[in-house]
Amino acid sequence: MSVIILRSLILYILVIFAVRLMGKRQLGELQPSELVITILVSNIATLPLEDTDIPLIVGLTPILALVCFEVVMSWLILKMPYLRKIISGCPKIIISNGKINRDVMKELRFSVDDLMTALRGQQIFDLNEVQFAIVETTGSVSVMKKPANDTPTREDMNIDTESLDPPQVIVSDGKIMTAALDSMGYNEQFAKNTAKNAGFNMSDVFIMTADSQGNCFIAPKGKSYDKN
Amino acid sequence: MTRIKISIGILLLLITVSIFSGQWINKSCRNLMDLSSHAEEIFSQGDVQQTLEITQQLEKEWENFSSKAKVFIRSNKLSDIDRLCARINNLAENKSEELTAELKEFSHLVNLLRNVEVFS
Repeated sequence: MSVIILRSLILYILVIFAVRLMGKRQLGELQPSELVITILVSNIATLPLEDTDIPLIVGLTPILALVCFEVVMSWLILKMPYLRKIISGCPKIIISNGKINRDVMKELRFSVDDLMTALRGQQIFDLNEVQFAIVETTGSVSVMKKPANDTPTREDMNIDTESLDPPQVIVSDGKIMTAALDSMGYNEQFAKNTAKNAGFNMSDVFIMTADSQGNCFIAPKGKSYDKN
Repeated sequence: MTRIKISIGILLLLITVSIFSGQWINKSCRNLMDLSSHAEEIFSQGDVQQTLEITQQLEKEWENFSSKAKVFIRSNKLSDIDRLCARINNLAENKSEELTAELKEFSHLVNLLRNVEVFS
């Protein structure tokens, strides 16, 4: 029993390390090769857990090897773009100039229902609104609306805007985040003064955010949110 | 780039370990097969005392090998040979005629293990 627990712990650490080594990708954005590796790793990892006859190293070796192959392959793809076409395929245009390309849909085995589902996922319920749609190598569909149906931007409406970075958390659970303060050009005293002016001790602050304009938001511990 | 370096490092490590472990298994298995053949030869000449010494050495060598090989060879593959090895020693002590057949089987299983682990 203790052997299984120890094996589980080692494999848990190894699988996390393997996934971290593969890099930051959302599950839905996995390339075909990454998806295959993820499925293989999850299957292989269970074998030495179920069967204690299998030495742990025999279970660990293929996991490490597969993940390393994947990382090296993704690097090679970066260096040799033609490899990308072979390994990941290339995006396919299914709607061009408002017209559906049925041949590409057949080639991709993409039904009308699949297309409508993908469009609804992009908040488009009328095919007539689509100017251009492309099926990415990950299987997701990217859509460009016709200009007449697209949401107008501030630029279109000639509204003045200023570019601001989003606010950052500068105090979390009473602890001052010095890295965030430094990146915004503030110091610890700024956070302390802001909390004091709002009538809080630093230990009472659950979350404090600040933007580059000096606007702060304070959420105290155990109380309702309060704006400053 | 760090990920690439780590990956290449791990791959090189795996390749190195697999090469050296393969060589070690190959060498150890050949040694065991030689000892088994030697015991078979001596037993056919009727020298029971020396056969017993060789089979004892064979058992010792096997125990030494299997205790290390457990790290990267499935234990059910080793336990079959383990049982056979213990039986060989017992047969040698009792001067049994079955010893030759058991030694041949031992060599065959060790060779099989070597082929699977080294060349696959």
